[in-house]
Amino acid sequence: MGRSMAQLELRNVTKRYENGFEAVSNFNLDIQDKEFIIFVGPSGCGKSTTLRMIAGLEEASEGEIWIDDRLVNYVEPKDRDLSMVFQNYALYPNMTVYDNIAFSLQVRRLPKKEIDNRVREVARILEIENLLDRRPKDLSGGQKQRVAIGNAIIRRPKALLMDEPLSNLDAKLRGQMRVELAKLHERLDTTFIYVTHDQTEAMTLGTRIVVMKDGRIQQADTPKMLYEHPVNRFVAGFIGSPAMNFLEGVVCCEEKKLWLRCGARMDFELTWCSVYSVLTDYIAKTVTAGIRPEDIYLEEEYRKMGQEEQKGLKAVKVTVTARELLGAENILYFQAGENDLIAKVGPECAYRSGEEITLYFDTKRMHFFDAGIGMNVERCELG
Amino acid sequence: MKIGAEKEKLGKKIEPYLFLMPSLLVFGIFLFYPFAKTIYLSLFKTNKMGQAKIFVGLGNYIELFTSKSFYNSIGVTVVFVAIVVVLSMALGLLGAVLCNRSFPGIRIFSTAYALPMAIASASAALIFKIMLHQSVGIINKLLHLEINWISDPKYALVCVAVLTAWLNSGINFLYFSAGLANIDETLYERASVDGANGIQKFFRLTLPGLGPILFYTLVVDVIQAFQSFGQVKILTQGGPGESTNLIVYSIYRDAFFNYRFGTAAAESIILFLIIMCLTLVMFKIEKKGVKY
Amino acid sequence: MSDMVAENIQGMRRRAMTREEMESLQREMNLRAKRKKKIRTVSLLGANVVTAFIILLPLLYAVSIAFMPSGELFVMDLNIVPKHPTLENFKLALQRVPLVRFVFNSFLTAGAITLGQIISCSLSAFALSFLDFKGRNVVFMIIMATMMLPGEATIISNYLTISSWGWLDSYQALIVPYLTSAMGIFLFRQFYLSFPMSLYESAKIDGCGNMRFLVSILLPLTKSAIGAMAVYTFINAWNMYMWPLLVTGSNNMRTVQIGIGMLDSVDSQSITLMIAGVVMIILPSISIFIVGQKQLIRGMFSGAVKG
Repeated sequence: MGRSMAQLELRNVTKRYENGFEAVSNFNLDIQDKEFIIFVGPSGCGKSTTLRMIAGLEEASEGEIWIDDRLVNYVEPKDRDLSMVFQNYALYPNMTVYDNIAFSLQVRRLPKKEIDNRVREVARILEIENLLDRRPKDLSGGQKQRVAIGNAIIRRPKALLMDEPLSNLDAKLRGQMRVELAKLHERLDTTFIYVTHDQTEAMTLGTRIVVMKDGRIQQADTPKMLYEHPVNRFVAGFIGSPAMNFLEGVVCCEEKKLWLRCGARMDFELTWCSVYSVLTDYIAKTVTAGIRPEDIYLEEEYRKMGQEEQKGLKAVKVTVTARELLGAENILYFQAGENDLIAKVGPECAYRSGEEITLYFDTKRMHFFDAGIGMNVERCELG
Repeated sequence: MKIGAEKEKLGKKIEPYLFLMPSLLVFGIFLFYPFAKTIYLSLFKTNKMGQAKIFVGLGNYIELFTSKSFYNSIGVTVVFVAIVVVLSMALGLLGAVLCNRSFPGIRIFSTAYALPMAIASASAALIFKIMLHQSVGIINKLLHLEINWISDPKYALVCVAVLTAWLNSGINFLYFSAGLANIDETLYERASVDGANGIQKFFRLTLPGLGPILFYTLVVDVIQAFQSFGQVKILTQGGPGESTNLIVYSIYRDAFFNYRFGTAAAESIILFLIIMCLTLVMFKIEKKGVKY
Repeated sequence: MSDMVAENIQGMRRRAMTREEMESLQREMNLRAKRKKKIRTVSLLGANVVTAFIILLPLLYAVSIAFMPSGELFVMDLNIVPKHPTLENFKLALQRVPLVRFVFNSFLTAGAITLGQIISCSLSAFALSFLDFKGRNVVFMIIMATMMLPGEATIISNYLTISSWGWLDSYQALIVPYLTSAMGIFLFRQFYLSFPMSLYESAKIDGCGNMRFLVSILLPLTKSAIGAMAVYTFINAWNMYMWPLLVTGSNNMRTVQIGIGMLDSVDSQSITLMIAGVVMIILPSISIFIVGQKQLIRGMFSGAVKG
């Protein structure tokens, strides 16, 4: 499929409604060709609005949107050379699947023969060749989804925009379609811009993820960077499932070592922390420590580790409050001091509610956030 | 004890029919019985009191189908219904499309478009009579014409039809508005991303999206148009000549002026058959054509 | 500048622009967008004004004539607005025919029909949607089939029936044949079916009888359907023409639509008078329509008509 490369650039894009509400503020982003970009965030964070401004369905109040060095702010949606998959699929109920897919070519008055060839090609890619004569109401959710995607890719657009495309599917189908979307992206070699509120979708699909909140970008990074180096407490809590645990504590210096004191039974020695040097600036200050449920281990698991691995793991006495077995893993709910925390541990764990046990917290993988503004302390280095 | 239970059981069995009783009674006396009686009457010659006197079999029907006047009535009715249906649907659709997007004052306009449905055919006919008046009517004054609309066989039927279309346009507007509101807004968004212009959107999305309601309205409008009476009675009395002698009016005239109840009954039955066939045909076409 | 704007509709090449150019371009384009929106709103408004004027023309004209001294009507030039508005026509119309009596008759007839239809239709619809009995579907189908019967197929026989009972020229002749309607039953049933059966079952368990359930649970829940039905039925009954024409003969029993015809005579002096009468009898149905419009639309289209 021959096609020009597509580069998208959003400069200071702002959406302000007539009542003064700012849905998107000062949005800056460069999207390279063939990226799979995800806009993720809680509902009302402005992710869909941003997508709709790129599509041209809404006007940007301020800022510039460039596609391949062409300013498109004032270009009609149909002339932007983008296509879009809507949350409810937006299939034309009165047309067959064939016409639904072909619509964008038909309105451009392409020769019938060419339209036919392209519809069949797309149908083959999406494996919906046998559905072409059906009407949308006779399709299952997954099939509708494919038809919507078919309509979007048949034009070979510069970028494919998707607005929560999987949210109307059931959990199992969602998983399947996720895999297929990833394959499709590889096969089409097109820029995908994808909006979702589901961080799992974001993490598994995106080459780059833009986490948004209250109309502002919190962090735009690769999944790995988001997971390992969240810029603030919001991103840290939003990415990952179950969500990261947070503990308030005071940094202090004793015996020439840095410690984090989080109430009566929890002191963490910070010697092995990656951000040790930064934390020296926080002595006597309160910080929020974050630890992911997967970085907390059972005693049995701790014993099996090598010496090097055991370094930096800190034992904490806790009380189990509940346990959920999820097949290959257990989710352990427990209380440590005043904090209700969660750990993700192996399937062999059989503790019951009320038991007192020891868990090992990996301080090497702890994150630290400024207790006031919630920024990751790594980011505060310079300021 | 047992008898009591039995009684209760019987009561339970009868209860549903008691609930239905009032409606079924009215239907029975004023719909089913008279319908049967109309069929019966249509096979007889009657006296002035409407009592069946001489059995003539299909005589009344044969008489009708050999009468020029009856064929004229059918022809006039068909033309009338066609004009009324097309015009009233067009008016309703125009209003609905104009009120589809929100703008200041939309409530006033949508009330205006729906308003004709609250007007009686008799009242409207009296107003139109003056509007179409040869010397004082506003139509002639506005168009600088001196046509005697109502007394001219060329125009009389059109005038009655326009009046009827106006009366029916109000409810059509409501139906179409509801239909338009039912079309998913994202379809239009998708169409703009897909590259469709306004005209393409109207013909490929709006009209097909209205399909079921257009059809429903068509059926209702046809049935209603066939039954128009008050406006003819007041505006033209079937004249000039027989140019506006719709079937319903001719039934009225035969029964209550000429006291030929048998003939009138036969005409009613024919009218009923025409309406029924048309309705069935329309549903057949709908089943074949519009699938979704 | 404007060249650049024109070019920009199709998009603008990068780096061909300085910062200032960009800013002025954005200003210009935002202004244009605003202007375009304004033009669109204004033209839509304009189209609506024209269409609404045409639709309302007969009514506006009627109101205007009703206030016109009859002499003013017979001038050759366009006389849309009365130059010397007068209430004389209304007064004379009320004197010439017993209009008050007609209005009373119509109100009584339409009111009784409306009330009767609401009662009979909700009773039937209740049985058809909540009670289980033999032949339920058949009964429903038969009732629906009656919608296909045009009034003309029965009107002659009905007239003969009524006259054989000696009911001609009486209120019961005007009211009784219309005490139920298939459309009303259909509308109510549609509404009742949207409630879960468990609503009925739990009321039953609480010891609530059928009648009580209908009156104290179902009716309050279906206010909007009842409202729609009431507005629609009342207007239709108020506007009835053929049946009252046949069965009423005296001034005491005539309804407004028939009575108003009495003002219609060749006497040209009476044109303004007649229209004044028409305006007076249109007022009740229009007011009820305007007041009940929202109710009517909500009731008729929530669920009843689906695309």
